[in-house]
Amino acid sequence: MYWHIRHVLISVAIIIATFFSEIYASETPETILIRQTLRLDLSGKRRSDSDIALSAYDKSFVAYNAENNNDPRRWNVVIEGRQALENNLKNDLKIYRYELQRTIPNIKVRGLVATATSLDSGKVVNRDTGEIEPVFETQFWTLVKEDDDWSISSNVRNVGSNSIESTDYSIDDDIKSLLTRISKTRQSGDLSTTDFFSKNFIGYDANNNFDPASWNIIFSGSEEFSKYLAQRTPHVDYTINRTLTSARVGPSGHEAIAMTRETVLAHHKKGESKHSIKRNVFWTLSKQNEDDWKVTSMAYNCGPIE
Amino acid sequence: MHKFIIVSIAFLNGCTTTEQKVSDLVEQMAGNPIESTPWIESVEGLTAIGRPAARLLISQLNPGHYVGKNYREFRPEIEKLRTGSARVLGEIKPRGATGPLKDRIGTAYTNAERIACIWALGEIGFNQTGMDALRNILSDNNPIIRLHTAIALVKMDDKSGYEEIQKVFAGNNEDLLEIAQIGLRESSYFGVPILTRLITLQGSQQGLLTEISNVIGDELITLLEAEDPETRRRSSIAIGILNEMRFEEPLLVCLEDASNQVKFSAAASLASMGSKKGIDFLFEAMRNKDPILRSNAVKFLAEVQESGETVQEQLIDSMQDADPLSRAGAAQVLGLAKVVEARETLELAAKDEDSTVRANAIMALGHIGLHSSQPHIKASTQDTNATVAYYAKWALAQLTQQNK
Repeated sequence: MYWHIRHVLISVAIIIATFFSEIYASETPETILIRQTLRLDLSGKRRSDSDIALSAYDKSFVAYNAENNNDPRRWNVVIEGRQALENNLKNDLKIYRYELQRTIPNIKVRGLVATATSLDSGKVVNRDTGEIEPVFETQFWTLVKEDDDWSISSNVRNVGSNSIESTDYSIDDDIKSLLTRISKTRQSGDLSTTDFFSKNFIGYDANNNFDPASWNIIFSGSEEFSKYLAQRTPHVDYTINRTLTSARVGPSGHEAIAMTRETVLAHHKKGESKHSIKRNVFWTLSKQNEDDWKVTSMAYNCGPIE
Repeated sequence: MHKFIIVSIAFLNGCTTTEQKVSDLVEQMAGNPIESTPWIESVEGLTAIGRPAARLLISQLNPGHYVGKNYREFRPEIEKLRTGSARVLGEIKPRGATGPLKDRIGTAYTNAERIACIWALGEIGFNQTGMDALRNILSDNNPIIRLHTAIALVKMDDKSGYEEIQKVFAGNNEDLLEIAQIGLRESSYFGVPILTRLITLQGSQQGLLTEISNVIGDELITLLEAEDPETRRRSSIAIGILNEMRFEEPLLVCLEDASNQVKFSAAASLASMGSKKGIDFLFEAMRNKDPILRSNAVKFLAEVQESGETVQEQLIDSMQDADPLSRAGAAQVLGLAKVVEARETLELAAKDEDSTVRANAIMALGHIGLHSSQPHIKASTQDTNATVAYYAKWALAQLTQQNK
């Protein structure tokens, strides 16, 4: 009799749990773990426990603020490194109480890297004044898997669709020279191109869109990029005409973003075909771990060609 | 032990060499314009390698393949690979290619890719999933896509594309006519029914159609000697549809084929041409002691009778044959082919001394379904033989149903 009651209770508990949790048709063990990581961040904020929130983040974390713009050239680097995040978070949690819900409609995983989009809604309450600020925010996240754990490597806040017509973009000479060197190394067929890329680098095909949620991951880490170069280089000669159109470096000088416009011409060694493409490439770069800039992400075909 | 190591090394070496060859040919395919000589050579090279290359070729159809180490940034390059891969898959016909091919025939892909995938589906042949997908694009906006689809359906022995092909031969678009012509030639025996239908319609392309028919006819003669009995069977049937006396000689050879199905198909084709040897073969088989041969003879004679009445007289005459097997078989054929002219003969046979002949005559009258036969059938419901009486009741029910 006791055995039957126990089984009925377990079944009821599973049914109730099903109703109260998000179930996605395309869920995999990895996406479940990624949801858990993003929930850990939310849980820490809701409980005003910065340690819980911080446990979701990678040591090389970087945060950008898109300020509801649709163009990544407008992203500002706002947090450079986990220590900066910790300071920021502790301060925020002291002042504000977070009453938020988070839905994660979109997760893409490739190997040891992943991206996710979240929609946060609810309110943030100022503990001193009681002032309430309603929240409805779309965020784009990148995650990296190390030792079987997913952690947040970057975050773009306030992803939006506002467009600002502007050609007033800054240029950074260091970044310009780095991106030129990368294209030259690539042109020469030198496989050391990957030296310019961080281990957990993510390569995207943005399919001519600015919205990062629509970008597809094409390279997972510098190792996969290296394998691609090793397979591609013996068969194709590249001519890359790259121009830096914008670059922004964070206040601490450890993180940066850049956009290049380039014409790529490929000549197949086993044939007469020549393929060419004009594209924008969006880059994120970091020198948190080393003195030199390393590419942390690269989005081919970023936005329309103007 | 040493032998084992040597064999293993040789095997691994062989695998690596094939892999390298496949990789080189794929790069040649990616690096040359579609239909250029080097591109065609790469298709031929991969076709020669065959199934060991199939897995990679199937994956090259999939857009998800072009990421990571397989990333290719140029859409035209992917088009070359996808088109070439589909072309090779159509030649080597591997299992499991239908799904990925049918997923690439939609408007999200380029015309070259779609056409290659449609063509490959046709070459692979009947598969319900592939056929359903093709039928869905028979209403495509592009007439070239519609025509390729119609031809692929013909290759699957499906008639839903006939109208599209008929439209092309009724028109004078040179490009479409060229595609249709090549497609019909490739369709071999599957293309014969539509071809003969087109020939009977009067139009400006009769010369071209006759030319195609001659080419296919010559090819079918060769196929009568194919290793696969199904190919021989289908070829002999198609030859019967083409109905030319030049095929009599090769079909007569098929009467000695190891496969019964080939023999009977050839005999039926000969019979429909009016060839005495084919007709004799079927009538001889109808009185054979082997029930399988008899049932084959009945089936094929019924088909011959339905297609052209060349055996009707002989069938009615057979009802007077001394051999009850011959009388019973003829009654069956007359019933299956619904030969109204045989009514009186069958009514007489309903009183035959042999119960099997009586039962088959009653069944035939039921199939023919003439109201005037009712008294004869009714009388047979009182037959001393239970089987005859049973079929008489069945035949009466048929008559009631058909005369409602």
